[in-house]
Amino acid sequence: MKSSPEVQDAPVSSIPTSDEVRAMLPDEPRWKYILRKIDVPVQLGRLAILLLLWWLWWSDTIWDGWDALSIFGVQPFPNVAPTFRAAPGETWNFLREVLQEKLFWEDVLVTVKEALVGFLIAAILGVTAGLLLGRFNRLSKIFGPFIILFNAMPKIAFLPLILVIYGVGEMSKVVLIIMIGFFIVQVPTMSAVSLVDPDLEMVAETMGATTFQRFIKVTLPAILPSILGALRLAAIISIQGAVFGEIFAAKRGVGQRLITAANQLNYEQLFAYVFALAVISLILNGIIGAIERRALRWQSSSQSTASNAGVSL
Amino acid sequence: MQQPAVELSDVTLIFGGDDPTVEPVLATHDINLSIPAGQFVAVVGPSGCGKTTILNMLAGLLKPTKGTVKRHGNVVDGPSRDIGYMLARSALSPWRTARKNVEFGLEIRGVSKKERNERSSELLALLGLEEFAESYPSQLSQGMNQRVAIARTLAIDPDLWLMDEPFGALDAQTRLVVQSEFVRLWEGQEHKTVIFVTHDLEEAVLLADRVIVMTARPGRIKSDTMIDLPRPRNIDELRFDQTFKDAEHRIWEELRDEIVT
Repeated sequence: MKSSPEVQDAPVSSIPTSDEVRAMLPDEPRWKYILRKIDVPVQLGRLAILLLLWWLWWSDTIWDGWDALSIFGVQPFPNVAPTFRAAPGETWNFLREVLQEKLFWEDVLVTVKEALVGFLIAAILGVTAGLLLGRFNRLSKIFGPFIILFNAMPKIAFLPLILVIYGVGEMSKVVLIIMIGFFIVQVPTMSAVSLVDPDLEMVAETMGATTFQRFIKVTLPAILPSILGALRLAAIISIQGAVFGEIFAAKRGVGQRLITAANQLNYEQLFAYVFALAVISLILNGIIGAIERRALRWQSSSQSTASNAGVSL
Repeated sequence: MQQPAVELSDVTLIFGGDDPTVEPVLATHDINLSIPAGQFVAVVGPSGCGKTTILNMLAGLLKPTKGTVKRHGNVVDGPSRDIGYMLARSALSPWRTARKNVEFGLEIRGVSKKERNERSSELLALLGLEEFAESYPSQLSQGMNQRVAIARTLAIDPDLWLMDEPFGALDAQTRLVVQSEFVRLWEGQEHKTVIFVTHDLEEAVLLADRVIVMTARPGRIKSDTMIDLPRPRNIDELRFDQTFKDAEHRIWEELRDEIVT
């Protein structure tokens, strides 16, 4: 080095206080912030879709009006005969009526009980099997092909057999739900176990953690997001399984009410029951979602949005 | 004479020996190395030369194919609780706050909550992280997370620190800050044995008492140099010191041949 470069000091301004920083920003009224937070286009879009659906139904547009539409000789929206229609007013009236009925609530209880018992057993079995198969390579090699095979079978096809074995009571629906729900929980649990960050396992191992400690302190918290996501899906499928089983053959339950109404051409009742079932599913979904948000507070907001499929109100 | 803290004799490690269809890879060959307790040793070498393999053998994660790895005269067979192992990636548990991450090793040892809390507070303060104790890794910068990882490694007060490019993922300026803090921490207490793997020769010479240069694969020891720079070291000044530069230059001559192949 012959000569060092000449360093020229630049004038450095003093750091403004946080109040001064705030004063430098454009003065934005609070309502503008609230408006942005509400995200008006999103709310308007939702409202528009709701109104459109209501209008389609109320104006009878969903029942007729597109009979002329034909694509390669196929009519995607054929007219519906007046006998098979249901008006929103009638549906609403029936729903209000049926909510007062004690028998209706007993049927709701039957359906919810089937769904919850089936869901809980499927969740316990699915998580346990997923953990074991994910953890022990040999087990997954032994059982893997059979799990793939059973998962590939349409579980609903077993329903006639299940009814013969377990009868038309609640037990048959529980068995159907377990068969469907097990795989929904087991498959993601297993893959989550094999995807646990090996660095975390290594850190635990070098610190001398026992196998049990590694399971409790690394594996379990690491796979919790996947398990909760799978449980949320399984809960909704459980309601569907219960209703489907009841439609097929049952003594009690909302599904049984639904098929009876349909057979009697009381379509406003059918719609009312579908809405009631949707509300039950949403409640179940909401409960698991709340557990999820509590248990996964550590996730950055972008991660949790992804797991909620971007739905927020 | 005192037992060396770490002793490798004729250590050879071959990967892929259990699969006849795969050509076995000779990772390290005939490594002989003895490190007295309290020495800070940096290991440099081209990538893939088996630096990490040596750390893994010392940590008890890998067994040498031939030769012996000893700690304080005892052959290493499996992980031990008095080793601190630190990686380039912070490898923090994302569901734990900074404090809970620091306490991870203490939890494994069954240390009481009160004691854990005292220890983590002390370390977080030492690394300037006390106001981020309750933050999650996703809320902290990379440099902060790496400091949390240092605190986690030191929380268990290990007598052997194994560090695998611990600052390799940090940007140049953050690295300088974290390096300074690390040296200050190490110098500020009774000296522990450190084996510090890095690809950054400047870092090796700045921090270590002794720099080992390894050959390209199969990894063998090419040179072993004592760094006679006084302690405590002020590394952001030392970088411009002529003695330091000469030492770095001398070792670079050794290392260059291995890299340019």
